[in-house]
Amino acid sequence: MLRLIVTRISTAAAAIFGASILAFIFLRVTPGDPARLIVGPLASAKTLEAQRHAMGLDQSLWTQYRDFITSFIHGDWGFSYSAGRSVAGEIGSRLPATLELGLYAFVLAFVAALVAALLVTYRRRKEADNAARLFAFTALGVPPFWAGLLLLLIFSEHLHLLPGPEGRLSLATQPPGKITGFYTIDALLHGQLATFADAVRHLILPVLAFALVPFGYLFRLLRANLLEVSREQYLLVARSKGLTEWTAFRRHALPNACLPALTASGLMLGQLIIGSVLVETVFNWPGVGEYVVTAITRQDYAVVQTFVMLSACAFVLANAAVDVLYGVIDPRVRVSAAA
Amino acid sequence: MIVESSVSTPESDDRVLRVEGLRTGFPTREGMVNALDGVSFDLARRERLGIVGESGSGKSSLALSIMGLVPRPGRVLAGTVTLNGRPISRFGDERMSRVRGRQISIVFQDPLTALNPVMKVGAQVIEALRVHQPRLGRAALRRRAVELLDSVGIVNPQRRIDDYPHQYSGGMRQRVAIAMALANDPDVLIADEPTTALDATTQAEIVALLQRLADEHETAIVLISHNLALVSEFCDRVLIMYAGRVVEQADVPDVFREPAHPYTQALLGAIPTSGSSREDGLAAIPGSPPNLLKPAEGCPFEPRCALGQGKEICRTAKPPAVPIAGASFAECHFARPRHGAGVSASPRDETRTVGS
Repeated sequence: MLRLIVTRISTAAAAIFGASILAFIFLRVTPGDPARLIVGPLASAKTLEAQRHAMGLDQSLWTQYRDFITSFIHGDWGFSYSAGRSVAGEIGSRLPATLELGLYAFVLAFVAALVAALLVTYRRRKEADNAARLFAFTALGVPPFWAGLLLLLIFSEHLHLLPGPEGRLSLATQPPGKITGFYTIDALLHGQLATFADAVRHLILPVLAFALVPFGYLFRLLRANLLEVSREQYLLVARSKGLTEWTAFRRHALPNACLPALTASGLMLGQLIIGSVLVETVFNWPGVGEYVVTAITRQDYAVVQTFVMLSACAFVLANAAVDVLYGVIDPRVRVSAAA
Repeated sequence: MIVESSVSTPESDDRVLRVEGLRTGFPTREGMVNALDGVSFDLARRERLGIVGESGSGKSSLALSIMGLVPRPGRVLAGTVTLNGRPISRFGDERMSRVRGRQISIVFQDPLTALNPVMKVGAQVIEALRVHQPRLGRAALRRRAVELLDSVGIVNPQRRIDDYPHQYSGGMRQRVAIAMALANDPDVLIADEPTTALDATTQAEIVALLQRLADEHETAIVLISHNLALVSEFCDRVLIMYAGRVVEQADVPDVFREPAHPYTQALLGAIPTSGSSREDGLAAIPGSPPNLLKPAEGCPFEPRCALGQGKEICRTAKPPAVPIAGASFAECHFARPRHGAGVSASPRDETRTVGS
């Protein structure tokens, strides 16, 4: 077990190292001088030189890379000219918004996909199966930002059931005191039920829009796995021992069918926690994605670099966590990793 | 239908399992595939009954139908299964689950897929115990599981109980499957080709194990096999199945000496013997099993039969069950009672020709 964890951690470190090189190189080979962008087109050569020096751009590539990595690890992610404050500060204040949206969307997608897959595969309900497959297929094909617009149009514009694109809370609502950064959780911790309700109402539509694609993907995966596992002989053996059909299914088919979905979840969770640029823009969600788009158009490269590094870390960590979890659940993985 | 015709079922009845007119079908786009077409037989306590037939003759469907485990969309269409005097074929899943594994168990053909790969072997044995003995504590369950593994010949069971299935060989996994099946001392064990997926030495060991355990637990066994030699060693009585029907029932010594049905004769002829020379090649029954979508008007074996081929009566009339001797019969127009054998004493005669 320990050996599995060590292997996974070293693979993870290697992956992050690779990502850091890419993040570093790409920004330096793209055209445009970031120092010139900051000082403006009219600044003298001397001012430009001084700015380049201040940003370390006159150093050798190796020194620049080393400095980049050391400061990244120390949490010094540079200054964001587009936001007018430190990158760490800006991302730090925006990350909870993105995480709250991403995690809820993931949980919703996974639970909904599991329930739907269960309903259609247990005792094979043909009509329900066809309907669910059609929905999942559509969910996969619809761009999330478009789904977001559609949801806004229906539930906010026409039915007036839910708030429009006004961010995480209504204007009149004060954010709860920061504990976790998740407004829903913080509001509950402070006992502010009205704030909690407002936060939930603002979350519903973006979470739905965001959950569609992962739902479609996970549903198809889980459905296929469940169908395959439910044909397994050991399910019949379990029933022949005296388990009812449902108990046998729950104990022997369900966990085994969820295993491959874990891997997919790792990838998807990585994606969800770094956010969706377009969904955040549609809902005016003050998250990381929206910020990064602005930074890219302004060549605010400290932001972009940090973002690439952070997403690499998110992906790698989510997958490493899934790998370890997989090893805990499936004994065959443990054996092959130790061999 | 014959359902309630078996009036004579007092408590002292020697029959532990009674199958009457069982019909099982699998609906397909082309129509209903009749996997079982009216199967009836009795099983006495501690009896060992063999069921023999080609692939597709309905042997496994019979096993699953008795257990109430026919995979959807297939289902039992007609007939009754009575176990210890109770009509289990009418039980729902919930009620039947209390019978499965406790009064009647099954061991399947392929031990490699019989165990859940992500669950410890011990946990799966314990599951079989706990579902019927919920009051047993953890320690007691574990102790019983170790005993069971030990009784089926797993070496060092205290340690092996915590292994996963992939750490067991095929033969060992079949032993575990047998341990699970016998965990609650059932009255009947159905063994569906339990040795087919194993190599020859392991086969012999598994058969010996079944034999020993059946004696110890006084379990009646239904051994399903395509291997006549195995059946002749193991069983007292044999049913020959063809196209979802029992075409011959006989005591084991008789079936080898004087097979009454042409299909049985052909099966016996298909067994390679050490005397046959290589040039003869392997004897095979010509043709292939019939299409179960469209049941034959006459005898289902007629197109492949050396005796009846083309004969008018075989093509147009279903052969009756012709009593041979005792309870033995053969469904063939040309079968004749054996001389000097008491035929009328058979308790089955009256139920025989019904159900089709």
